[in-house]
Amino acid sequence: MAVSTQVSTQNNRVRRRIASAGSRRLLLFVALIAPVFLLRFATAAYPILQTIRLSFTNQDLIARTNDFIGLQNYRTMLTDSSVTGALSFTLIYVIATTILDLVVGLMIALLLNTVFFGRTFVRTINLIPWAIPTIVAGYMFRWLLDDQFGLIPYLYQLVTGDRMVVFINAWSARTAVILVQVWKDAPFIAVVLLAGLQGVGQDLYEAARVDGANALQRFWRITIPLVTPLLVTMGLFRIIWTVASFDLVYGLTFGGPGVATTVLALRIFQQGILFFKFGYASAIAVVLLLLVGVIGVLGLWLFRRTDVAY
Amino acid sequence: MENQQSQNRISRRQFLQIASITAAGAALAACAVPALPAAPDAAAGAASAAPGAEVQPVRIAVGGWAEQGTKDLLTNTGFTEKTGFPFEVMLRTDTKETELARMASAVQAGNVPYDVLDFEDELATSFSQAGYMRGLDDLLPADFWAEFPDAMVENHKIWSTYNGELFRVLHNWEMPYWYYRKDWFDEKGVEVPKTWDDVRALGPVFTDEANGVYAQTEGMIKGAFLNVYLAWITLQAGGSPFDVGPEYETSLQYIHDLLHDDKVLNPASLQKDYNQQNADYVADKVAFMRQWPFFYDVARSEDNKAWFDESKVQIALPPAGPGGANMLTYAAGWGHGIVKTTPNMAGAEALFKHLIDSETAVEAVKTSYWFLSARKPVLEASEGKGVAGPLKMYSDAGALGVRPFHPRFVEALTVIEDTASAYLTDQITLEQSLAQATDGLAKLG
Repeated sequence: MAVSTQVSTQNNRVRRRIASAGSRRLLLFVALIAPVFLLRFATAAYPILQTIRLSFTNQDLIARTNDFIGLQNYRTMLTDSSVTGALSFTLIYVIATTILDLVVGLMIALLLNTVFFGRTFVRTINLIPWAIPTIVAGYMFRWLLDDQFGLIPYLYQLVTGDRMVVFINAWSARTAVILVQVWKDAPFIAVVLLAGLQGVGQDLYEAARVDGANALQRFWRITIPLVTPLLVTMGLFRIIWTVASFDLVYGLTFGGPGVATTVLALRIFQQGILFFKFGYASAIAVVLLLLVGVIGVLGLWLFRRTDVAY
Repeated sequence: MENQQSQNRISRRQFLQIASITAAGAALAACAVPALPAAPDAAAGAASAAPGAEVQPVRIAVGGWAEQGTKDLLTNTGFTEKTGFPFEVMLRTDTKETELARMASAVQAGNVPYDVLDFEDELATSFSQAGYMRGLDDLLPADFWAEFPDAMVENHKIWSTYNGELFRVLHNWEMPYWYYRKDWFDEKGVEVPKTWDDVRALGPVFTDEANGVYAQTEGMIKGAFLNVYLAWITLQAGGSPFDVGPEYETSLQYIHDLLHDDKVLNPASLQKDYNQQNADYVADKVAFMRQWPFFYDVARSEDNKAWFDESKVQIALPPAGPGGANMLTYAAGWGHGIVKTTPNMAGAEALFKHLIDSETAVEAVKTSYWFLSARKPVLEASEGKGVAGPLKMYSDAGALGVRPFHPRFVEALTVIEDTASAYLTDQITLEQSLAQATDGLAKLG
């Protein structure tokens, strides 16, 4: 009996020690996680939650209203042509720039991956467009495309004999905005893809060559599959960055002519910062957040399906 | 002893508890919204400050172009000697968008970036309605308005007053002038246009599309540039764009004709700002244009010295539209106001009173034409030099209408610009443009 009691006491002590060690570890875990958690909560979760809350209000600093109005902002958005128009161009802008960024970026990467004199120098200057602040690029291209003094219309006139006036119709203005964005971002994509290309073993190409594969086949069967995870990742990043940006549009066209180049992010800026309609601006921001969320989930799903190994 | 040491030593558990509580407390404190600072007693000023206490400088924010002029003015007129307040001239941002963002975030955070602000019409409506500016009526001397012409008084009532309270006093009063190439008109043997129809006839005279030469250019890119032009033209038609009435319809049709049918106005104007417009003019690509007074100095600047000749930059009255000869143009202005939440209210009030003083205003225009207005002693002191000549000419001709106003100006101009720009670039019809503008403005209330 005495032995049994002693064993039981020892078991209890061991259990208490384990429990104590467990709670210490838990406390340590909480203490180590807390600063990061608080930081993320304050800088990410709180603003998002606050934006969602505001989207259900009519907060307006000028009208001095701040009442709960349920889904009214979302209903208004459905019939607001300035928002639906901006949404349609945002989709065109995001899809077109992402595809072109990846295609042009891959072409540049392939070029920079070949051996030629001055390769290091070319790789360096390739990044210049990316290093230029977007708003500066916007103003710069406004002048580069100016009908009187622009270099691009001048070269166009030399070649075709016709004058080029870019921003006076929706189609040409949209094309200009998309191409300038690609000019700016493709070099960065190229550098990332170049790193991926450098990781592709030459033995794969040599084996394929021995098997009789031509250059196009090697590109489609080896290069593309092996850089696909990078393409998906970069595509995902590009989409998310582009959806939330408006600095190029702000500097280049201010959304014009009409609303032809207006993006959702510009509308949020106008409604929130220019008109002080925080409620309505938040509702548009929530739609943008959902858009980014859907794209993000889709991207992650694609990413998991593109795991390639040789 | 050892026992005592172990009692004083903090255990690991206690340390972790304290550390996590401290971190949580610090984070929560950082998240907490600071209380708005209470406006200090306006009566308390430099003179009543405690002996030995440092007097806070009063901060005035101005555009980059007015920085030196403002410093010189306050130095030359002895502001600090007269009031005991040192001053600091700060730069505000150049655009209304960025200044709105800066002020809104600062006020929400219970902070203010400056005490006195030099600001334009576009900001005036937003700032006053948001409650950011202090009412100024009690700071004006008796008979203050006697020195101002009726047009300026009227402008103050519309653009600088909200709910019956004045919040800005103009020191700058300017209007778009009609600049033209007298040398070209003389060479072609044509008269300066007096009416809209005269303007239409000038397309074939001056425009040479193959070489990029046009009778007229404008800065009409969205973001307030287009709105300025639309307001100017619609005023000439006798109305306001914000009414979306027949005058506005006539104006839109007229501009469309100038762009596409009469070949008068360069279509690329729709994507130009004022810098691009000025560049076209001094590159000999344009016969005439509407532009603000700053072009007077741009044309005479060091950069354009080789190009400049008086005959290239003449100013005439604008061509009259259906509204008649009394509605040829409008004046807009910049003025000083006090930020309501300034922590240095006494200094701000002293500076404001100093700036609106008649003697200071006269001294100001001698310092810089940025301080030119139709205020009677100011206009007399300017002696018709520089842009004071055209200002007097336009004032004497009675050509001034009131700048078209909307209580939610910044929003309204966006609606007007979006719908007008779409029509002028043939994306929608005139009827659709008018319907969309009417609908958009109706939603503003």
